[in-house]
Amino acid sequence: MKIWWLVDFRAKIKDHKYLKIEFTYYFFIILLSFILWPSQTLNLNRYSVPDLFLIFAILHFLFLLYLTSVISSGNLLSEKEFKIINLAKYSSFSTFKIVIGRALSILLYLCFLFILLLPFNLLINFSFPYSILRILYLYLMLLLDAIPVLGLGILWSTFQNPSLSWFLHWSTYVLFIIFPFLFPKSSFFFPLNNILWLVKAENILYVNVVFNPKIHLPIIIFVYLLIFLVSILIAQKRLKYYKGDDKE
Amino acid sequence: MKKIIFILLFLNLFFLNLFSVAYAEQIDVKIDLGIDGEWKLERFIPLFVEIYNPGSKVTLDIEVIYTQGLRYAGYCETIYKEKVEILSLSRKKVEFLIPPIDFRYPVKVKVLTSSGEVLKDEKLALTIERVTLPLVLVLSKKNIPLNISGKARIQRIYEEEKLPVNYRAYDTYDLVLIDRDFWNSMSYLLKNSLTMARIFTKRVFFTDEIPSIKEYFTLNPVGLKIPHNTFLYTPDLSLLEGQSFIYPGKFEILLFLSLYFLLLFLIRKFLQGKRFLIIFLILIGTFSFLGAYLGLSFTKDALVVGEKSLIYLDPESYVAENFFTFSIFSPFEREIIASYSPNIFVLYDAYYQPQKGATSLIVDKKMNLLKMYTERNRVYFLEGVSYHVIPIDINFTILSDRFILTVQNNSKFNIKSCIVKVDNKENFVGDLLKGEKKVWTVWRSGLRGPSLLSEVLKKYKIKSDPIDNEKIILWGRIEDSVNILNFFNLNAGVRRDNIIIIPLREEEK
Repeated sequence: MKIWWLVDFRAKIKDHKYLKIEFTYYFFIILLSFILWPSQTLNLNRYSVPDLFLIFAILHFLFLLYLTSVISSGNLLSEKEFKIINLAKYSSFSTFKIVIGRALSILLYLCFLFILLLPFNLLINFSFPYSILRILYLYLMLLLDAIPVLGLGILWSTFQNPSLSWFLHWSTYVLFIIFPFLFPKSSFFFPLNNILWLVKAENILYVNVVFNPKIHLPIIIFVYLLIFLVSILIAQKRLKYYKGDDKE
Repeated sequence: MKKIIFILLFLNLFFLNLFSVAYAEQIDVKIDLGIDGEWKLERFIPLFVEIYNPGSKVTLDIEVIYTQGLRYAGYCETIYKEKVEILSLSRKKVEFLIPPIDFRYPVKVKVLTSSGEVLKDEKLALTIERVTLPLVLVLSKKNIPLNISGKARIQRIYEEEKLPVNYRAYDTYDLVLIDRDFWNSMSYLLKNSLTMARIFTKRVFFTDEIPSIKEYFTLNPVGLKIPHNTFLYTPDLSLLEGQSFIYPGKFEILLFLSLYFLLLFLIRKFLQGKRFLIIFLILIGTFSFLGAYLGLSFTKDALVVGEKSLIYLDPESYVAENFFTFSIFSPFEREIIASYSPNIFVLYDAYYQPQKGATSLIVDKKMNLLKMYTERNRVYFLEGVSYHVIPIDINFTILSDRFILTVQNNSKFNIKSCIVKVDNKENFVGDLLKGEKKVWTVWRSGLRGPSLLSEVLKKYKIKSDPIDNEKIILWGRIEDSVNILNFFNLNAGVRRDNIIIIPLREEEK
């Protein structure tokens, strides 16, 4: 028997609605890199090389986090036809398998996007000495940051009211990005902070980026996994209700 | 028997150890700026580090730190490094050539052992009143009477061991007088350097050549000014402005990215089944490789260099002296390591823009290596002097209404847009390519002023006396690289502005 989340992942790759979103993003980054690419002639008063890696790392973060949130909360158009509640109602899988499969297929899709973006990231990785490890760290960080959003998104997808789940998905996404600026002292808990640390943006919008990987990294890994686990456990509980409801 | 040999061996080893330990501390270091401490402001100066080693063989690192101040903030530092090996019970004299000193900063000398222990760390103090007075060097075994003002410092040297080998070091003297007897007893090395000094400074004479010293020697007032930092009165950015980088441009990047995403779109839209995965992986692999290559070539090639130099050629001996300025711009922080050709004998960190903090240039004299750490978006100026051999034969005759020039270029350089300059008027004569022979006639009536070369020379602060004093000059531009600077792992766009100046003198018949 095929593992169902692999089938789900394959469906995502081939879906035209996903394709449309991705290529809109690609078009956007091509345009932006064309505009920002440093000129070939030196003008001493104006010439500077913009830190494209910083700009695009933040852009990737914003895009991928949004994509994770919107897919996992079932608000994407193609996901609406394939609701997790219906899956729980009509499939023979256990609710745990459904929830985990959902998370895994989205994570796999993220990795797929990472691979697609690899040539572009290698191109804009301006630093001296040139290091490919920086991209690997960026990918691992993005994957880590996607985990709490993913867990919460799955939880939101168990609400039957579409406008409620849409509102919750947006509020999670926006708050996760705004929180570091609201609480500078505890900003290391929030996903944007570690990306800013990685791209060495020491000071952005008057907020100092405080992140010490040796202390903070284990804490955030623990916290993110905790958020993920708690939210998928609640999601599972909620789905069980729908499953039971149908059987009766 | 075996035991006795063993004991003897052991004792031997013990004593060897004892002696080497006992003498290791007493290395004697003597440092002199100028010959016996005499030198002059705004001139190149020799620096001698003399080391006597009474112990066993040692390897020492000598560091000479020359600092230039900037007008607003910060300073430039040049560290000349040399590794010397000194045998036991021997003396070694190491000579450095120091560019014109900024009297606000002392010259520092450090002598270190190979393990990093400091043997000597000295700041050379400067006394301004002594260094501004005119300086005369007399090389003679006899005591020649000199009829010069008492304000001048006269330095008499009786033994040739004290003299510097580098000809540029004699620049510090206003007049060098050599006795014929002393000249005949001199080594060829010193004879060569004194001959070079005679050509390029025009201040070296034999005692019997000049009837009275007063004619050749005038007391010029030397004013104390805050020193300028470069050969030029203002650092020249014109060579960097508008220069193009070698790295891939906007449209190449646009093409690369659009091609990649278009192919990706086509594959995902139309390909199905097993072939999809293989072609997909090949596509990603190829474009990742290409992307990394483009990104790498961007960081590597983002460097531009401007080379500006003034070459004075002595047509009789074919030797040429070159004052050059390199301007270097890098948009990234990085360490630049380059090897330079051995004919560059002084190189120093002259200036940087915008000025903030300190920069340092490390020059390894033996390996001909320079090392510097650049901050992002700064322009660095390196300067130096080098010599070349440029064989250009010139036959020059002056008639009442015209000059006739026969020029044969046997050098490896193409000389473009040659101009004959008489006083402050000029006439364009044309190009002189490699191996070409040309005959030019310049009519006096065709000369037009003002001279372009005079305008160029006005920008230079440091020139050698001959350039100033020559009346009739042939000058042109060399577009090939004159000084070779090879960057390691870097490709730089280079633009050059090299001017060659050849004095024209009628041959005596």
